[in-house]
Amino acid sequence: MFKRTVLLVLVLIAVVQSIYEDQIGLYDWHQRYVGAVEHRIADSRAIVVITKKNILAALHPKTGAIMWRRKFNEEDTVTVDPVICGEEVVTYHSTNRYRHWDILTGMLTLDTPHHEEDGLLFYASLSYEKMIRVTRNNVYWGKNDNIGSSPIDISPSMKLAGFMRSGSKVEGFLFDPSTAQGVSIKYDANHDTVQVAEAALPSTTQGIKLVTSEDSIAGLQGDSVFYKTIGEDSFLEVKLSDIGITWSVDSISAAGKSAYIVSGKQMSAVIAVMDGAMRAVKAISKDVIGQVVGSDHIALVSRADHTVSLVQLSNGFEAHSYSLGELAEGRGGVLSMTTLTASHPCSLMTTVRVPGLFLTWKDQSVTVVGSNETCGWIREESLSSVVSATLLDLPASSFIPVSLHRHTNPIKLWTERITMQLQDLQKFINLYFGTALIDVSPEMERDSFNLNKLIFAISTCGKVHVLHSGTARIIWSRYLDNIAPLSNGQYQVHMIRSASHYPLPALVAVLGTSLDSKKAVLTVLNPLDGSLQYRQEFESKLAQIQLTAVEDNEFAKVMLILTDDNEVHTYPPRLHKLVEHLPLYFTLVYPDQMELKGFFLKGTRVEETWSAHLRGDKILDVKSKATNDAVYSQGRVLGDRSVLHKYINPNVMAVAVESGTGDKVLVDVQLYDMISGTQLYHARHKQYSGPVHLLVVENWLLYHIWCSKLRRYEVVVVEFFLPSAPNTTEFSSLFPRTPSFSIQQAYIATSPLSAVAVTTTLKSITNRAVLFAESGGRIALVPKALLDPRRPTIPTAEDRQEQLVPYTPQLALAPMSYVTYNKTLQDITGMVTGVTGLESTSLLFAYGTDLYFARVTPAKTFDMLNEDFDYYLIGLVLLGLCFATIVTQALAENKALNKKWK
Amino acid sequence: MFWSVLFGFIAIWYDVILASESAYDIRGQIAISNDPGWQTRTLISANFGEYHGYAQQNGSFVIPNVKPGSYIVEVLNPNYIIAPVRVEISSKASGRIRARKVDYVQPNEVMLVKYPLTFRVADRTNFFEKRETWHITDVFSSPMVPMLLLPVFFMLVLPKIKDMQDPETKKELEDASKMMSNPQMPDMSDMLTSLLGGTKKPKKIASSKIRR
Repeated sequence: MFKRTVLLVLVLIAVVQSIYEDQIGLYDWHQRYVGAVEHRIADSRAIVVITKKNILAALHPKTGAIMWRRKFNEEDTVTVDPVICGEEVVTYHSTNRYRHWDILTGMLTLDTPHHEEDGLLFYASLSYEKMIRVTRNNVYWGKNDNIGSSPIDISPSMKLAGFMRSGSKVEGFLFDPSTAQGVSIKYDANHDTVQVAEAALPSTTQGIKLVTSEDSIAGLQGDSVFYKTIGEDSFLEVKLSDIGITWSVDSISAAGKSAYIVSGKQMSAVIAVMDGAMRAVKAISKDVIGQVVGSDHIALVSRADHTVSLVQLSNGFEAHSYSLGELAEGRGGVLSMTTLTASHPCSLMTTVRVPGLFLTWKDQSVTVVGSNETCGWIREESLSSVVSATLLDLPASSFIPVSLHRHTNPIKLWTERITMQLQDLQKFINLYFGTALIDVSPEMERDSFNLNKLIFAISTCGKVHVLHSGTARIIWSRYLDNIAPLSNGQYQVHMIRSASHYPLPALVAVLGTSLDSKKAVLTVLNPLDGSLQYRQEFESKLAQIQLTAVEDNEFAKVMLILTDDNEVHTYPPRLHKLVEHLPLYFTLVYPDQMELKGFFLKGTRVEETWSAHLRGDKILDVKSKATNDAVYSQGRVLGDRSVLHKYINPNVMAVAVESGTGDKVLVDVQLYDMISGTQLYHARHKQYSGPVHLLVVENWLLYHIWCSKLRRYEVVVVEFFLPSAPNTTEFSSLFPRTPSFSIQQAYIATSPLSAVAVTTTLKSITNRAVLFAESGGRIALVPKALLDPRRPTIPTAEDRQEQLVPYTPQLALAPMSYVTYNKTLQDITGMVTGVTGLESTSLLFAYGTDLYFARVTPAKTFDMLNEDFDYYLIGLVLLGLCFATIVTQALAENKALNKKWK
Repeated sequence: MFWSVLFGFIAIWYDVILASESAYDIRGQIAISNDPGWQTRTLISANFGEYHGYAQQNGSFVIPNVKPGSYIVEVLNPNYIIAPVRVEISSKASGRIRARKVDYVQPNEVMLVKYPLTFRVADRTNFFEKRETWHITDVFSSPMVPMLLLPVFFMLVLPKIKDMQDPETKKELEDASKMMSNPQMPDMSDMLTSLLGGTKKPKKIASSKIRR
């Protein structure tokens, strides 16, 4: 019996969604990212990066493609730059371990704990086969395991200031800022000797900040620079005014291989240690970063005008200079620079052969540039931290409006329409006769089934990307300066006006927080070309947004912005009178006070109508219904032909609250009516805890929860029904007529989730399916029929007629139910679903470290012919039938004639 | 006796000292055949990402510094769905590790498996539906085909066998065939004529029929 039900379940899943092996990548795409680069080391074989996402990855130096990437768990971060030693990349972890990775494949070759408790001071690679690790008690050298060691004793008050490297020598410098005492640990690889020497700084230099630049160390104190090169026993002092720097400077930064940049408020200067003495090389403008390339040059990148210049260190002569141009636009400026080895193809084509530059930008993107911008690559790593996304329709016509000016004169309007239509006709002719006279981009045009969309995605750093869902190409991107996510870690993105109101531009509103003032910021963009349409900063923080169905006289939906001083603003601005007659309600969640509050719009302000205290310690999740979701059927037909009426309340909000700890932990899941504040449902789960993922759709509530008692994840489904047929189809929260009742059931889930979503289709006729993004990186499509609270343990004849699947405690998922098939998405954080012109098909966009887009068909493509449909055969059969008709007609006529002759 | 007591004391003391602080390594071995380079695509996770381990060339892995407790150890590889194992590290018995099958339905049922862990996988998980292909053997395997062939066999072959033997049956058959060519039975071509040739515009009707 059990086996049979399992079989039945599997068969049922198989009906839902599954693709053929030859359809890989046909309707879906997957983009892999690594995150914002924190540590980097470049080699001719790979650029090894460690990112904010705690990922170690190797990027191909020529193409920027990910060669391999490995993710570390949260408590296992890499805090220091990795080191390349021979064929291996060595990383040192916060868990006091070393890991050696093959540089080409990413295979783990050695995983070993660090021997000493107090951790590592520094480590460096010297020759091809030699590594040195220095702790307070020992210096180790050798490659994989320690070949040799030498005991040393360094007092704990000494802090590492940096280490220097030159040829076979490594020297670490430790410094006690309070006493200005310093100590050098010197290691010579040729003889494997370790020497510890005192190297004090003058007592006036207490608190000096030292920076190391490959083979020297320097610090700035007042107008003097103290420096020491590798091997030297003591620090030297040089007054900046003595070397020609007359203006005041306040900081010093390393620029690689004995070069430094001292910068002041107006100007900066490159200084370098040459022949044992510090000299000024060149005075430069402020906000410039530099890196020594080759033996005698320094590459300088200006953050202000994005020019790269190559300066000879010995004489300060500018050898080469070029502008980064378009590449630098909208990236918020360069953060850091690393040089690639000279054999790199992007080496600057100058008289001196010097390497290409690996740049990281403020918008998290990374680039490699050579002598011109065509040589190199860009990785838009901000796409690895997308926090909010929405799917937008493409315009019905790709005609790009020339004038955005709207005429009131009917004759002008008429002529504009005629010219537009003429241009459309011309475009049509061009398309079919192959002479592209005007720029036609069919990519920006809606396809016949509206399957292709624009993905509007915004990242934590404030970078907006718009991608084409079919080609995965970035249409445009824009760095919104001075913006951060809202308090929930996301932005609010709303479509104000669609692209179908030519010549008015389409509008998308983005709400975030200002970085400076922490107040709400509204930015309105045109999603087709990225142009900024409107920007407004409010006086207080954002509380909530509500998009009304009311449109102004320019077809823009009126959006209400409630700030936390109870003031309501509108976009387009000052349109309160359009909405003041409407019954508009707001519900706010106060996580600190554990309270829910309902408000009612009155004029330009809101008034509190209800409040509810949530018992517990922590709000785990809050979800309300999607506003644009269609409900197709008002009821469910049962096996005995009676109807179970759904309780469809558009104003519900689910809240999950956790309270207690240890064995007393419990989770309350509650459903509130947002208008009246009525509690519609309450379930208390004892010995359950978060994380909880909620989903509220149509008449059902679904949540995924951790059962700490039985150590397993569970999915609970609750459906709400009415005991009798409702009198009207119109729902009112204020005058509830009949109380609803609920049916619930729980299932065992095998994996924790990182996100949950539901498929949406045009008319919601297609059965819904729930998308579970598992923490392992797969996305499962589970039909609602499996998550039905009415699944019977022992099915009766009526149940069978209703096609209810018998109950099984565990939610068994077949491999075919994974929409991501054999792809693993790194750290999914959210999913967005969208409708298409086809009732059967729903779109899925998942984001996290990776991006994934796919079409999902919860009930197979019932409204589309199979792609292997034989058009020729059916054409041939039709033709044959026609032919047969004509022949038999002639024959019949003959026969009839013959009969008459008889 | 004395030694065992002392040893017991030492063990208890050891536990008390280490119970809060100590961390242990979970070790195991993975064997995945016919997928070269699987090691770089494989991640071993304990408690769904709380701890990570990485496979080495020989298939061995270590999840280091794991605190005592109960962990679900999974081997994550895009091409394979591999059944997880529950690993329990005792905080009392100085980090004794045991591994058992994961049973979410009956969590109290203990079925021990070998520790250090071994994961052996041979076939790739099939995430795809098989495309239907037509093959000549499909025709014979279909139950409809014998059902069709058998009547044909009876109609054509059996009468021949019979009429060779008996003249009486031959007569019967002849009668039967006369019955078959019953003049009252409508003629096929007549039917077509009456349908198609009866009206003045037969062509239109014909085409409309096809459309239907």
